[in-house]
This record gives sequence, C-alpha cells and structure tokens, in this order.
Amino acid sequence: MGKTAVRDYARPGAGGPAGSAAPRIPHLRLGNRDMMRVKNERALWLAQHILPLEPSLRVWLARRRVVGLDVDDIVQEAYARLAAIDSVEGVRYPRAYLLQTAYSIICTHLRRSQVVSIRAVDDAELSRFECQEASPERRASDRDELHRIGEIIARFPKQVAMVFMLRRVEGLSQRDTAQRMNVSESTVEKHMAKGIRLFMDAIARSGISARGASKARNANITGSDGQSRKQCPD
Amino acid sequence: MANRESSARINDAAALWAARIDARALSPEEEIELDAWLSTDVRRQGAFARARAISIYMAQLQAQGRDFQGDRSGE
Repeated sequence: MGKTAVRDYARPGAGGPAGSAAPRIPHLRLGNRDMMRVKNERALWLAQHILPLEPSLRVWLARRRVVGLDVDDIVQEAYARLAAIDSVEGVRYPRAYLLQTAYSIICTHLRRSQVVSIRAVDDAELSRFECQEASPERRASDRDELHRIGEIIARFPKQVAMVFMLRRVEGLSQRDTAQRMNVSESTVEKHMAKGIRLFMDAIARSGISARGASKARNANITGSDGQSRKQCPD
Repeated sequence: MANRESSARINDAAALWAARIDARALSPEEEIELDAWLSTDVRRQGAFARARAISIYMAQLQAQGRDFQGDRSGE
C-alpha cells in the first residue's frame, strides 16, 4: 500500500529527462546556466500559469502535514523543476501538473530523510489526487487582478511604491526613474528588489487570485466546459 | 540541515537578482556571481524563477494602464 507512494506521478514533461532527475542534487546542474537560470519565456509561462495557482499549491501542501517538510522549500523546488523542464507544451492542466510536481518532490524528500515513514502521505488520497479534476482555473479578470496588485503595491513603503509607479506604470527606465526621484540607480534597483520581495510574500500569503485558492479546497469540481477530468502525464 | 539557508534569505537574494536583470544587462562579474549563487541550491534556482515570474507579472501593469492610481490609503 505505502509503496505506491513513489510512483511516477509527476514525471514532468512527457518523459523529458530534465524534470525527472532528482533536482536537489546540485552538482547535476553545476556550470549549466541553461538549467539553472530560468529563461524569459519560461518565466512568462510561470507568471501566467503557475503564479495564480500558488495559493492552491500552498493550501494543498499545508494539508499534507508531513513532519519536517517546509512548505516554502517545496514551493521553491517546484518552481525550480518547472523552470528546468525542457518543454511545457505538453502541460494541459497546470494545476494538476504543479501538484504532481510538488508531490514528487515530497516523495524525494521522504525517501531521503529516513526519519518519516513514506506512509506519512496518505495513499488513498494520493490516488484520488492522481487523476483528480484539473479544470482550467478561471482567472480573475484582468481588471480584478490589476486591482489586487494595486492593493498590494499600496501597502509598499512609500519610496518602493513610487519606484514601481514610475517604472511599471509610467514605463520609465531605471535611469529616468533615478533622475526623477533624485536618487542613484542602485537605489532604484534596491527599491525594485524590495517590491518584488514584498510581492513574493504577498503571493505566498494570499495569492493574486482568490478564486484559485478557494478551488483548491474542492477536489470534485467539474469543468464547466466539460473538459476531461483527468490528467495523468505518462 | 542545521545551518540551511532560510527561504526568506533566499528570496531576498532572488528578488535582487530579478530586479537587476529586469533593469539592465548584468556585468560579467555579476553573471558569474549569479551562476555561482544558483549552482549550490536548487531552492535558489526556484526562488529566482519565481522572482523573475513575479517581476514579469508586475510588468504587465505597464501594458495595462494605471487603474489603481489613487488607491493609496496609507496616507
């Protein structure tokens, strides 16, 4: 019963070897910039398809209650895997794919730790999850999302918010932003970093799409468009 | 395990790298520094990917306008 817990649920990318290799072994990637550093187009894909699902993932992970597992660690590793797989073209249901990836990471940790029995993960639930509903997330409208982002930015420290307005809304370059604010470019850079950092936490706490988070609690939603309920990557 | 770098610290560094890459080309020294930083922990690679995604996500604002101006309630 417990043994099935390490099946290839999450062999990402239709057999692509990159995703199935144990990603926590750092030397596998040493010196390979393409593997380590997310490409722009993949970062865009992550922004469009994975960020809105991060609340779902965190809710799901929090319910695992596996001893010794840190949710933030798993989330970071999941992003690393999704950044490194050869192709995401085959990913039809990002949510199922994301959860399967996280699940695979958990299994890798459990196998390694020796401390926690693999049975700490409930097998029946995993089977249910294996082919569970993966209806396409209904994203909040652009307008709602923009509003939520606005709310997050409104809570930024004043200088950070100012930099974001000038850079992102008015579209100024870093140099022009620095001139406008009468600060150095490196200060602008630090403010931008701070804003990204705060946004990272904001997404971890509440997400950018509240609907995505609430869906995570219901495993039996049927896609209104009648799409297949399964995603079992081979 | 005891002295593992915290996720928060990793996020700090990832955000800074994302901000740099977003704003300008990295210097050769920075390129090397970033590679070295990424190479030692897969969590760093993930945090960097996430920070880049967030940076791009926020950049969509640029294209989508200025709806939220005036939302500031702080003061």
